[in-house]
Amino acid sequence: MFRTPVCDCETVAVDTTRRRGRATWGVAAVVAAALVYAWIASGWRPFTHPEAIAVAVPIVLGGIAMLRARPDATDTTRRGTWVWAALFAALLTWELVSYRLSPRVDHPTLSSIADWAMSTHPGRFAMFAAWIGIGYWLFRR
Amino acid sequence: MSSSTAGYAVYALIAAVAIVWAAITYLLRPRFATVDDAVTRLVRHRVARWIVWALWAFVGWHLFVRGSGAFK
Repeated sequence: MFRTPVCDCETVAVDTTRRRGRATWGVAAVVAAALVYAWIASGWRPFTHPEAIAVAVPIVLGGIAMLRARPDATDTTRRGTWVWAALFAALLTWELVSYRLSPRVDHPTLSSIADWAMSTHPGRFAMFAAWIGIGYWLFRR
Repeated sequence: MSSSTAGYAVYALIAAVAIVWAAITYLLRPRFATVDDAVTRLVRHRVARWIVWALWAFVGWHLFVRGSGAFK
């Protein structure tokens, strides 16, 4: 038997807990759907129309999310941002240097390393899921 | 050391530094910008936001649609 709430805050607390529970189930459903989508999409071969559509759908959704984005205006520290920029620049530079050199077996690029990782369906699925996950992380803000 | 070993070593070094720096910034936040802080700051600018989207889209298209070695 439930007693009457002492104040409104108790009802709010219960509602918040229920909403959180629903949100958790919602997130789990979205993650499961994304994983199923990634598994199906990663089963199609490159250079085919189904694969092109399967990749285009997240790209279009990401573009829509970009249009609707209202980035967080909360001020965060800039300290250390240069390290991230330097790491990205180093990666990009090494990728371009490797791309210009040949043979590819002696000068691997990220693409050739990814091709090796994607030579099986589970590997291709992991890469596709990671790509969708990074997209979600980039465009959720 | 062969060329390919050096090539892989440079990628591994960059990845290792990124992981260590990510751990340091996470443990010392908010004193240093985490990768999430850096990206949040970056995508505040409209042009940068679309550059990030284009880069992500290019990576996906290049790897999964125009991929050269998958399923050989």
